[in-house]
Amino acid sequence: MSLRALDTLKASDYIYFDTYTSYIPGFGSEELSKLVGKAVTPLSREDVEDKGGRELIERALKSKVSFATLGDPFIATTHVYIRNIAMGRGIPTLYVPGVSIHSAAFSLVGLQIYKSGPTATIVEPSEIYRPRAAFEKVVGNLKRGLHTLLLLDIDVVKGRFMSFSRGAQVLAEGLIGYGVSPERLLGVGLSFVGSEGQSAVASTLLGLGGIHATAFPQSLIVPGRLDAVEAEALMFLGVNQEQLAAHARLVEELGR
Amino acid sequence: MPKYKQTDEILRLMSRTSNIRNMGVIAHVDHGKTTLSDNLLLAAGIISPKVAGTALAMDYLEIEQKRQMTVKAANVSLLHEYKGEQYVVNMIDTPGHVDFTGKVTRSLRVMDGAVVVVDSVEGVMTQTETVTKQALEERVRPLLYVNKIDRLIKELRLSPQEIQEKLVSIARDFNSLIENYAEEEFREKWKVNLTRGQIAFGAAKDKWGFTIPIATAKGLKFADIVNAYNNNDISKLVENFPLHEAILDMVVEHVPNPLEAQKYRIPKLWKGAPDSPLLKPMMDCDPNGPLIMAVNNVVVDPHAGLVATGRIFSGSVRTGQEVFLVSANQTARILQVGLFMGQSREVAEHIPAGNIVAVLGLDQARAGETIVDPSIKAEQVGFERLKYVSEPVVTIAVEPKNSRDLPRFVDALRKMSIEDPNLKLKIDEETGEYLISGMGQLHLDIVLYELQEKGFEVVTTPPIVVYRETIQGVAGPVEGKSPNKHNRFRVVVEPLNEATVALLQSGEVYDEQDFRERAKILREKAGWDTDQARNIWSVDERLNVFIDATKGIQHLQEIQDTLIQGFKWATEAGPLAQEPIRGLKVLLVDAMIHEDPAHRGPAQVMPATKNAIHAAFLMAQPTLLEPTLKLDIRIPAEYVSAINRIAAQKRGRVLEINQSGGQMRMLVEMPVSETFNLSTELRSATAGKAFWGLEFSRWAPVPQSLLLATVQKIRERKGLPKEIPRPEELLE
Repeated sequence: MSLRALDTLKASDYIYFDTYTSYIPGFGSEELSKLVGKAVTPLSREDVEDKGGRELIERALKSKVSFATLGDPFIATTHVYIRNIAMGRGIPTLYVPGVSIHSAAFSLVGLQIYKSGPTATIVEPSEIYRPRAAFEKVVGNLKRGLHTLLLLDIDVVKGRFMSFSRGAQVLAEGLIGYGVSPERLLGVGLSFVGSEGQSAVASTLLGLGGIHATAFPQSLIVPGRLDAVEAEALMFLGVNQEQLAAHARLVEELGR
Repeated sequence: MPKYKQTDEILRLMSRTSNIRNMGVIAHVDHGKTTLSDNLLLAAGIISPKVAGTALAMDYLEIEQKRQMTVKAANVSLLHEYKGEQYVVNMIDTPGHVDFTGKVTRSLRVMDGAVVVVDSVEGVMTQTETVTKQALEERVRPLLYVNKIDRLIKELRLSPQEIQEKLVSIARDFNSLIENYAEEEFREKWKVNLTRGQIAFGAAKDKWGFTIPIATAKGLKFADIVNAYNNNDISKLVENFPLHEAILDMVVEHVPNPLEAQKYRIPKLWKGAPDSPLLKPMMDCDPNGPLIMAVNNVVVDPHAGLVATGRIFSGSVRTGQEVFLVSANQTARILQVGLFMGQSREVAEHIPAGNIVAVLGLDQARAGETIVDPSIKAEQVGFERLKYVSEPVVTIAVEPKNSRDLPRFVDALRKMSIEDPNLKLKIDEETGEYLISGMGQLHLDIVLYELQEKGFEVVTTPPIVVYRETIQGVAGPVEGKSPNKHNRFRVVVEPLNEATVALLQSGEVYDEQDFRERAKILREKAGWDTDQARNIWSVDERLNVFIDATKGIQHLQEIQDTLIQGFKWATEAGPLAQEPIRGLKVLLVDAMIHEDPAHRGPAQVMPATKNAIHAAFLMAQPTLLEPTLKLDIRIPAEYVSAINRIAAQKRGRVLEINQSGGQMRMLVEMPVSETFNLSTELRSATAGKAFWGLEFSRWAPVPQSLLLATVQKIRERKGLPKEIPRPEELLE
């Protein structure tokens, strides 16, 4: 958390904490409360989505309210909607950036963000829902030589987190349908990004399916065309020259 | 049960297809179906002569014997000699109460001919008409048996001449059913004729009967019968004219054998593709073809486990054979093959096409299942897709008085719901109540009786009527938002027209149907627009339709299944009182979908769909439908006004009054909710002289004046907030 974020929270009358968008072990509303020295109210998905953050908005009409979230949720979903409601009702709002997975993940691995393509989430397939969007995004990015950051589905309430090895398996199976070989394609598994103890490991997508990390949350990057510095960075994370060469040829072929 | 010497003979004859007859007995309630069946069993030596006519061996349950009604269908193989040749007559018992029409259809599917029993005094009644019509729909040839001739003599004191006239008039009524309901091909061919021996007469209780050819051959006159009863000596009649001979002769002579019958029946019965390679072996009744068998009944035997009985239309059934269950979508192995002789099951190695057989080892099989050779499982179609012949309309909560019995009690309920597909068992997760739903009060009474017979003291709640929710107007587009507000769906709702509801109910239009075929039917028979008819996404079992009316929306295909789930969730429990929705057409007209799959998953899309549908529903003149019954009442003329009074008190509508014999016949339609004390009231108002039958009539709108009170009562019972949700709340 930035000093500015801390100051903003300290200056608030009420502080709410989002408990479902992301998760850091050992950091919840109580820890935040200790850090700030003020009472913090946790909000569930239901409070934020189904009830549309009603309590928060009502309070904000009369006093200074902060809504703290792990990571950077404005780039995804509901939180923007709440800000829109607030602005619509004449409540001034202020955005204090947090650590975004997007930049943190690329920095940790040593890939350049200029070459990152659209992001997608890998969802555990179910009987009624087998989205292909992640596969399509990866293939689309590879064709243009771009890297793909893949977020992995989490359900904080049920305590279910997808690991990067499971994500790599789902992706590998899906990509076969697009003629992309998971034995040649490289992937980087990331865990606990942005916190102490963060780590990254690179292998083929197939190989990643067999590597397990214990810290959550996790995510996955499928690199596109690599320049010399990026390739070198990946070698420090566990891939060899041959694998790099095979990956490069695959990206080349897809690009044609 | 001792083994009968006939078993071996029957097994041998089963491979001579031209000597097989598959038949059943169908009737209006109390016209004597079970007594006739017992006469036939008597002939097969399955029950002792003393028992037939009193003990009703085909009824497994004492309750049915008390009520003189058959509840569970059983199949029995009999041996009959006719003109020096041996025949196997597979007799399929059918339920006698109209509440169980789903079972009737399944029984009919496996038989080629049906003996329709008609009481000589009462004549052709509503259920006679219903069952005959159903038989004709399944291309089962109906033959007529006029029962209780003794009543004409003893009660009505008719002369021989009058008896003959009476019988001719019943035959005429019966033939007019065939005229009205048979397909053109069979209309003339299947009319019954006295002199050709297609009508039998008799008194099943007294075990005698004849056809005109038999009477002519043996010189019997109607006057002889009148004299026998007047002289109180019918022993000669019984000795010379055994009923089973008359019936089985008629069956052998006039019910087509499986080789003939399957040729014209299969194209009608088989729900698979009309050009399927499976049609030919079935139409040819080929014992060497791939196995295809229709299950009409299952019972759970305390020792053997689940016993499934049904008809083999192609191929042969063998012990140890691996088979595929189409509805259960599962492979299983047949542990034992056999045939039923009354209550005892006889084991066989191998039974070929055309026959009725009992198999063990298929634990997932239910009545209506299609069993096929695993090599043709890709066909994925059976004799049945979901058909909605009848829907449960009454629910009660049950529990054992002694809570220690609960595990055994639940087990018994489960078993009963396996055997009876019309009995629905549901556990209310909030209250922990065990809810059973059935086709009517009588159906549930029988279930409760069975539970008592098994040693449970049962505590029940008063019966609860099941309602349906529907709309009378059009509304939309209405926009529903997902919890994260990034997915939005616009829907329009309309009531389905009556023709469409009828097509869905009959199963002519269904969910997995080829979309072109479905569109054609809807266009031609229900006036649909081609575009809508071709873009149907889902037809649910509650008779609602979901249509994609959008154009070129990105990611829509990926969330199609979740939208459908949301639609089904919405129709499962409507917004008025959380009763199932019926007859609703939902058009998806526009959609905004989040870019990332994690934010457009089921948890987002399903509530958005449901809320949009419910909000639109509430804006389209919503109402409740209640189940109504049709009562067919026979009473002496002086009680007509009493019935009129009862009908008026109970929101009943008299549909028809006419004279029939010395009696009046009244058809009254009445809401199920008003019928719980009906028997008692009818009995006391008519000094016990009323005869009546009940059958499901239709779903009728609850009168506007009662609507709100009815909705409130259901909401209160279910512990829902008093207020019906407002559409705005659902769209926030």
